[in-house]
Amino acid sequence: MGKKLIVLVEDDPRDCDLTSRALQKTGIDCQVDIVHDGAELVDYLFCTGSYHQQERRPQPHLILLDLKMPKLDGLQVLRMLRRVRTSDYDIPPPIVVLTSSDETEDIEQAYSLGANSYIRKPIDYATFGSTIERIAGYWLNINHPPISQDRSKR
Amino acid sequence: MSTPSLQVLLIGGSKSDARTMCELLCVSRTIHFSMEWAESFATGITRLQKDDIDVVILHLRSTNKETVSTVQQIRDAKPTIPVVVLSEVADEELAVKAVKAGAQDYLVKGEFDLSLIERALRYAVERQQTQNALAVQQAKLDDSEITIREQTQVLQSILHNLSDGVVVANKEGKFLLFNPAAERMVGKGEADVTPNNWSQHYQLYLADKITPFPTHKLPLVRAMGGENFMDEEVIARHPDGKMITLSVNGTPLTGPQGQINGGVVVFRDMTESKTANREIRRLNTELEKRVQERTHELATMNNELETFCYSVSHDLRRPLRHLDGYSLTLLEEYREVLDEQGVEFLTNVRAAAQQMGELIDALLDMSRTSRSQIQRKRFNLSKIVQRLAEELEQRHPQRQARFTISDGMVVKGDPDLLTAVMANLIDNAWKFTSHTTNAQIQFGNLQQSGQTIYYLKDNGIGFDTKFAANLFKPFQRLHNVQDFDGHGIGLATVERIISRHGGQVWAESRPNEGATFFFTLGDQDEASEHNET
Repeated sequence: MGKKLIVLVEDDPRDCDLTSRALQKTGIDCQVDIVHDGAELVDYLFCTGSYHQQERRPQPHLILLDLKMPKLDGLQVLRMLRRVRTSDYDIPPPIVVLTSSDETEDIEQAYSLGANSYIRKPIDYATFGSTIERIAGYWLNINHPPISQDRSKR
Repeated sequence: MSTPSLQVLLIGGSKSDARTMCELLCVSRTIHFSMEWAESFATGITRLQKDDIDVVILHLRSTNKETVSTVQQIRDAKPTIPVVVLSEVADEELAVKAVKAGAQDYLVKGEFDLSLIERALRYAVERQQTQNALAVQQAKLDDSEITIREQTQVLQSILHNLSDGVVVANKEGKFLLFNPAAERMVGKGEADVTPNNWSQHYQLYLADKITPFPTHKLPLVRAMGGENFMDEEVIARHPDGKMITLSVNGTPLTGPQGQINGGVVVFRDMTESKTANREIRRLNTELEKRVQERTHELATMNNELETFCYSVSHDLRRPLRHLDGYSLTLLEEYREVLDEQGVEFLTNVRAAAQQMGELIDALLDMSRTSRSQIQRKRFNLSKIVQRLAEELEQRHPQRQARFTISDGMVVKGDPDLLTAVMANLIDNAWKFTSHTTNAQIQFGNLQQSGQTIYYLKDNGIGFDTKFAANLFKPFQRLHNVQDFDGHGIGLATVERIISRHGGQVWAESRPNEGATFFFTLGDQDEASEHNET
């Protein structure tokens, strides 16, 4: 199994740092690309904007998406990915919403917009660590991603 | 047919006169006479008082003067008893005087036989009876005349003092009545003006205040024409220029055979009530506008509150996560440069972050219970409590506590919210019996004045009732954090949920003697019809 690619969509640098650390601690061989808001994620995925120079890279295995972000927020990103799914971008990688909110409305909207999982970040960092370990373990090792990911590997 | 009888009293005359009269009367076949004789006038008057005499024969011997006064005295003493005068001498003038004084007849001694006296006495009695009856009639008439006069006075007084204007005209248009209120309202009184000139004379206009009121449409003219109507609007201009709006009711004036004799109008001044109506409309509009504004404000505030809660859940938790994250990172990755105290401090930082996180969550829960719609359903509260108790026992297997939960308590309310209530109450009971040996927690209900009161009773450390009022306020803690953890939001949440159900919650306790929490759930009518779900 090759190195797994995770995109962390998170605007807060400390959160980026703490989440990356937690991911590293899991021991799973992975690369974490960080984008800071929804707009950047869209550019990242479609190689547009500041990412247009980049070579075509493999599709990420997992997107960890925060909900509250500047520019495009998490729910808007989900809505956008859903809309473009039928065009040039087939099926997005699994998206796990990782957020502070446990508002029923957020949860319902996230799922209805195609999120694959919804996790509320606990305050206790030790719990957070084990949560991340389980997320990564499940989505990167156990779960079978959609076919488009295989195609990107070719 | 039996013979009529007459009781005769003869007053005056001599004994022989009396005997003669008695003998004469006794032979009558047509009337059964019985006669008494009173020699003196005074005796006669006294005898009359007995009321059994039908007719008096007054035997007079002497002069004019005496005749008149004597007859009058008898009449005065007994006005209903007829008097026949028997005179010694024939004197036409005296006869007339006697009759004028009230005598029914006049006989002359020696000039009558039995049939004459029979007739005289009988007629006297009959005439007197007729007169008596007439007198009664007259008295009645007098009475009714007084009544009529009084009633007329009352009616006039009413018409005079009535605040409504009343005008009555006969069919020629001559005013029969024009009460003071009418005069006040139209600004002019009764005048000798024909209906054709009423509009002009009294300055009456249509609602536009310009067009003179057409004669044939004038309320009084229509009433005179036989119409009945209500609430016709007439504008009257006073001599001083003031415009008055009148609301007029009209009806024809009908005679006993139903013939129309004229018309009656009754009217009142609507100017002020019209102004008042306008004012009410204006105030209503203003009120509606203010309600709308207020509703809008509230909606905005509500929105802001939701945004605030959302922010709280996101923004406040974020730095807490960082505090804990970096503290733990320090503890793990810099363990070798930290001494015991450093470790302890960092552990405290983490505990503080954790505690604040719980506080924020509790606050959010409370705000959610205030915002969410109540869904009333019937459900078995006993089962919920049973489940909560089992969960507690599983979570804290080291604790021993005996739960006593009454079966089949079906309530009508929001299952989620009431579960939160019970969870809070049971958690408290569980917590405050943690230092108690033989901990007991009991859930049941009781009936009081037709209301079901639910209670949760424990035998834990209890509290001082003088703090009970603060119990249900947010962030109120009656115990210290070292002994019992908690954030002081639970009971505030309970209070909100119960009051949103239209119920009440209160507590009773004494230090070290346990606590009992009571609550009611508002309208439970439907639930009480069914006992089990």
